[in-house]
Amino acid sequence: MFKSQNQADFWSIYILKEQHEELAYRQGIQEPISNSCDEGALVTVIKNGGIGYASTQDLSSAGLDKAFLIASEWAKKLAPYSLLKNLPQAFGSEKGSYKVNRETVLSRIALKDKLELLREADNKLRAHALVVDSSASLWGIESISSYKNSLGANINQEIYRMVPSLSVTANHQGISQIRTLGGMRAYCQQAGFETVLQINMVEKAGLLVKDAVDLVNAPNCPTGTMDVLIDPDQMMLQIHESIGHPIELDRILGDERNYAGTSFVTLDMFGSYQYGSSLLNVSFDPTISQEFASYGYDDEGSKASKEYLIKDGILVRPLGAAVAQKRAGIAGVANARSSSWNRPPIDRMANLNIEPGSSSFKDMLSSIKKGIYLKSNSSWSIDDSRNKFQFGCEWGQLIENGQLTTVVRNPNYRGISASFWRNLSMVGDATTNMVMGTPYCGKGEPNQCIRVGHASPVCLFNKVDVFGGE
Amino acid sequence: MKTYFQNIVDLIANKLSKNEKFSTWFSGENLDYTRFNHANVRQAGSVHQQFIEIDLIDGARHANSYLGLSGQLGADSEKITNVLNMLRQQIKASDDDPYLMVNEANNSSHFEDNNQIDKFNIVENILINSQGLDLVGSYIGGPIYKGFASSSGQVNWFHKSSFVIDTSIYHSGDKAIKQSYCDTSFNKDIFKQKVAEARAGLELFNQPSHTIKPGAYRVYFSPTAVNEILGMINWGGFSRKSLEVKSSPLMPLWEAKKSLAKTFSLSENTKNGVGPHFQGQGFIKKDVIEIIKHGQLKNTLISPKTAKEYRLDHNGADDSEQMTAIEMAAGNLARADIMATLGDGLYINNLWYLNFSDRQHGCLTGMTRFFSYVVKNGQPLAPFSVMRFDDSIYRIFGENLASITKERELIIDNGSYEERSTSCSLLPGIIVNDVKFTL
Repeated sequence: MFKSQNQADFWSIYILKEQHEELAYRQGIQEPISNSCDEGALVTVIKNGGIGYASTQDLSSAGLDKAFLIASEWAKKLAPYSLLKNLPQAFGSEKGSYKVNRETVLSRIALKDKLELLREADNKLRAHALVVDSSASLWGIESISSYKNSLGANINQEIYRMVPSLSVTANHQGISQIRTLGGMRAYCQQAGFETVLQINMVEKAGLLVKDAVDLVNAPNCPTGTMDVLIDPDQMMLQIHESIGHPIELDRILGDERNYAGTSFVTLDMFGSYQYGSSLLNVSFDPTISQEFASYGYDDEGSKASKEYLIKDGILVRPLGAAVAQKRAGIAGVANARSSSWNRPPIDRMANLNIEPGSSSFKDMLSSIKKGIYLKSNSSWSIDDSRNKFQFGCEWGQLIENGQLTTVVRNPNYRGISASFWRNLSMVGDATTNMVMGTPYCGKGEPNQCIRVGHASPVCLFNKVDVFGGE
Repeated sequence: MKTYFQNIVDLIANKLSKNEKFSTWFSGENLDYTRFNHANVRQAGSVHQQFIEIDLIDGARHANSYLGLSGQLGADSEKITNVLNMLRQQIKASDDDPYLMVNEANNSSHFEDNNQIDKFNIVENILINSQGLDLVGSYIGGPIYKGFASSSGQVNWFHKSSFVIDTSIYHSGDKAIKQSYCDTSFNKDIFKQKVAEARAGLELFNQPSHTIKPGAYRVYFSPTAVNEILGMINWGGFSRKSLEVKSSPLMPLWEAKKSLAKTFSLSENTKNGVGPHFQGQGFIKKDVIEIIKHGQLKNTLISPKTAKEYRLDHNGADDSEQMTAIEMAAGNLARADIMATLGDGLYINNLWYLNFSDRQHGCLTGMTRFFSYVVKNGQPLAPFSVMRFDDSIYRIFGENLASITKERELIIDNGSYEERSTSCSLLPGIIVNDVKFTL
């Protein structure tokens, strides 16, 4: 592979080619079509316990040999200081491929068909006098990667994604309210045009306009301690921030303390810590084919499989990949992921899901005397140990004596991770479950933004502090 | 690199038909990085990357592509041919863009500040000086290249080499001294001095942390903390488009329903910034734009596209309409008098993870982080456990703004999502009365 490869104790090469296409209408005007195309390689070398990386877009033999020498120099020079110098080999020799292509890839659909759909959705979003801004967009992503290493690993993966988005802003008497399709592009999936059509963006656009208009005429969310019934498009943020990040093993080991933060979770908690009520079951599940971060192997060549991280409320396993597992001496999952060929893999969330329970939506609703139903994230903030959080939603509706009543604007709630999940009192059944995700999870130095998936049913929490805006 | 960029531009120009125009944005860097934990090395490496964004224009229709380049002209020529053919097909399927604003000017420019940075020397200095300390963070450095060229013959070039050492030295738990050292050349004595200051600062953490109750406190926000608050407002706040579609947190200021303190003034000072003075469509940024003057919103950031949409004059803002060289006017509080003037209150060095709790009314929330402590009678008393604040821009920079420091700090944005940031801020510290803490 490389001219000087015999000088390394270990080497690997990860090559990624990505193509993007973004189409959009805003306020009745077609936005210019936007594309991107990029291909590059990440070469990793281990020498004397030191690890070095080099990233290049020059995929010629000379370009890759040069990258190998750069990575080798880093590994050798900094070996005496390496955190990995006394660790056993972490990487394997898996061979295989991953390709899930159930539907028609977006790039194979005629531009006019995709644009017409977006034009119709945007028209629907503008169909009210109080609307001051609207947009409908569709983003297609095609990722083709390969991984080889000096132990014989040879992996090829092809992943096709679609990210539909709708946004509408209504304004009335100085009040503005924004409604989006799930907030944060939450309907993103590994899917093609058939799923885009199933989502029915035009119909959804009509519902969002109604919501936005209702919200500008709605009272502010009241303040109080009450039950909170949370839809999957807010649950995904709740899982992400207050379960996903705190159980990332590299955070627990301290790697992220200068940037993304540390964790209230410590290594001794695994196997015994009561993270939530006994209804809480959380899985790392790369096997749900349409979920946004499904894959067969992580970016260091480890084979991915479903694992429970929290079982019946007890914390059992961290989000830690091969290297972090060796450092911590604890079993983890295959989650070494890099945002692209130009960043080294680190421990990331991939698909992190709450397993469905047994309660119907109707049963959950009817159990609530005083509460609020929340949808679609609009604001997120949590401390660097991932404990004290405050989240806001686009939509709130009061629940009184088991009935949905007044719509309220600017609903926010706050809590502490360590106690919040123990107040999980009902978990929705499979009919309430939705597979969602986000293209935007930030972490790492240098910074890396990565795609994650979150599937969740509707969930009910007791005794939550809720409040509105000014 | 500039020669390579020029070769690529010539190549594009030669592949166009006579009715086509183009503009290009070039972004490249040679990035060296080292991640530290426990004063050892977790990961280290280099990235060589170059991208070109081509906007192909045919009449009033256009489409664009952001293309990774190999740096080898032969291979890249084929990529560019393929991309131009794809863009031609996409233009055929496109409507006219009523907001297209083609830069017909020819304002070429060249800026080059090419210091050689000895990465291994810097990394070894960090490791040697931090032995015995729990240092975590990163070294990121190397040259950044930005370029613009278009059919009009305009060529702009920006090349700057710099580094950022962004680290935290931990005492225990979540208590740490966070520091940043950015420059174009490394001085080992400056770094050594910073580590010595951090060692001294760690002593305060020997006191047990206080847990403060929710309520209102008099607070000193360091320039770094002020940067976090302004960074949040900058997320759509100063954008003319956000104001026109009524989603900016500064709507009450824009509509003159509220004002800020007369001592609060804010400018976009590109002239004193660290990034290029040209934006994505090749328009030249104004040297200085007064955004807020004596508490009133005087100007907004207007991109060429927004200008066309709302029939305004643009002021060279990027498409994002975010400030990239924030400068806040200094006040008259001497740094030496901060503690005495604060009296009883909270000294907050670092904030973290801000977001809007009520965007409409300019309310934001966030956490304290790293090194923040209780002050009693003008003396540091003890660190406090992280707390959440939730308050309004209109109180923090308005009715409750008590003092602004005379001295200001230059804060270089060390963000590196996809590529290194070229933004910066020149900011004072501020004392604010009755800041609301909630959790």
